[in-house]
Amino acid sequence: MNSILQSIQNLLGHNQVDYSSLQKSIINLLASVAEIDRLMQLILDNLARGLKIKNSAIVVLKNSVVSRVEFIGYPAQVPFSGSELSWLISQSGIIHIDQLKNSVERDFFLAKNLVLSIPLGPPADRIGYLLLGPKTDGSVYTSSDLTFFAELSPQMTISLRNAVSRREIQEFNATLAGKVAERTRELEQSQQAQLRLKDEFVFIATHDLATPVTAISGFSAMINASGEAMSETLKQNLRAISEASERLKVLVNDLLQVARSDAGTIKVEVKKINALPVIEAAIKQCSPMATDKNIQVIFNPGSSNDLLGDSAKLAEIMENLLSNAIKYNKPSGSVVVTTQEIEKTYTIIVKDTGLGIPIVEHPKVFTKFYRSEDPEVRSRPGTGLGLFVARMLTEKMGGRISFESKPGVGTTFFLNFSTSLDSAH
Amino acid sequence: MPNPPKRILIIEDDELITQMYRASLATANFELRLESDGASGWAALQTYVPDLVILDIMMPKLSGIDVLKLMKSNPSLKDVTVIVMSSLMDDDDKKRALDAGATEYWIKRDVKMTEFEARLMQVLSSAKNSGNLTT
Repeated sequence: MNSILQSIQNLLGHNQVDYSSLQKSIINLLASVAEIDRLMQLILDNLARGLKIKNSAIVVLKNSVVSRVEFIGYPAQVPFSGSELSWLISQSGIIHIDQLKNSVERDFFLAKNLVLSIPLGPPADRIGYLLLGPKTDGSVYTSSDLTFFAELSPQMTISLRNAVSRREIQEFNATLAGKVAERTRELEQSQQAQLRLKDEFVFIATHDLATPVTAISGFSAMINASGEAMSETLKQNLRAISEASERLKVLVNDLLQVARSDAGTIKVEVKKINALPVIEAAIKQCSPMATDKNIQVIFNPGSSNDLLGDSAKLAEIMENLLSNAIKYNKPSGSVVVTTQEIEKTYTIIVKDTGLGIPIVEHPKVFTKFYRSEDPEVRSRPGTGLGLFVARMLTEKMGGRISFESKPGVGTTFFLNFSTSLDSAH
Repeated sequence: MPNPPKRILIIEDDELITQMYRASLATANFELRLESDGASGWAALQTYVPDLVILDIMMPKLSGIDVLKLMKSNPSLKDVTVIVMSSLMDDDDKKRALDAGATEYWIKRDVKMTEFEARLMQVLSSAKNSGNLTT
């Protein structure tokens, strides 16, 4: 009994389509699903279920070329090409296979097992087609079906167009993001290459500068020591050559350090070192300049001179501090170097009787290219790199540099270093 | 009988520096041989075993470090005293040279040419003493 009733209801159901609920559910889809492929699939699903359609497809065109296809009910993939569809574009309304006379057009419908073609959008701005096969029960499409499609197609057109645009924007964004990432990578690589190149250039340039400077000071020292009779003028000129080459040595060195700090390639090897020979060598290095300016350099080393540091870097720091202390000193002034170790902190003190640093300039003393506004200072040659380099190297070694200064009285620099690893941090 | 001159091989690519060394050592009792790059220096060492080599680091063809390593792997050259004289000032440049077997590492700009001969003599005599101790 029940089964008979059921089959009667089924029979009635085949011919009775609830257009309003189908339309409602499809419109609901059109409003809520933004992803193009999923939207196409769900439209086909709903139509197939609601109208009992065996097979169907939605074809989306871009510039009259098929850009995406969704199927339902086909046994395998069905290819659609733009040229197959080109004749359809000029058609403005729904096409039924029975209307088709031309064999090419009929063949297309037969090959794809289609009955109806519903254009989406006007011929001039067509987004694609809803292509429908026969119904599962073999019944024909009714005029109600056709009305339903005609009503639905404008909204489908709008929603599909939106979904396609959305996808295109996503794809564009993805490519854009990819391109930006790629370009950024390229830029970073070229920047690194440039930094390497700069570092290499500076290294070679300073090395090539250092060699002739070494030769100049070497030859002038030998002439000086030759004991050959020289006029006072000649001696004076020779001293000028020596002093110039000493200055160049320090400058070339400072430039190398600055370039390396810019490139981030300063190599500092911190280990236990003895500062005594380093300080003595630096004082010896500066002695011609001190003699020339009649400045007395006094060294009062403490009993222990071990510290954690890099002896080559400490030598450069000391040369910079000493050459400043001599260069900016008063005539017949003095420079006193003292060292001491208190509670695992090793301190080198360089005290001069020079011009001093105006208080307003104190915060700027260690900045790159700092030079005092004092005309007395300006009148003496300098690059403003020495103290910048001294601080950079001191800090690289884990040390600290500070100073006290009174204009007209002198300046004292303090270098603090750890003496053992456990007190380093 | 006067001491035979000490044989010194200078391997240095910069002619200015070579000239400076030669000028500084002109009056010393040294027999100087000059080679202008690492490869020709190494070639010279095949037939010429000096008492001391003064070796630059940055040179074309073969670097000073390469020459050092080759010398250390050669039985007849491994005990030759080598003073590396370079313009490289970093501690790790020095360490690399000493690790490769250099006897001394001197920074060119820090060596006073007026004291060059005396410093070389000092190294030669301490090398001789340590040589006597080991043989």
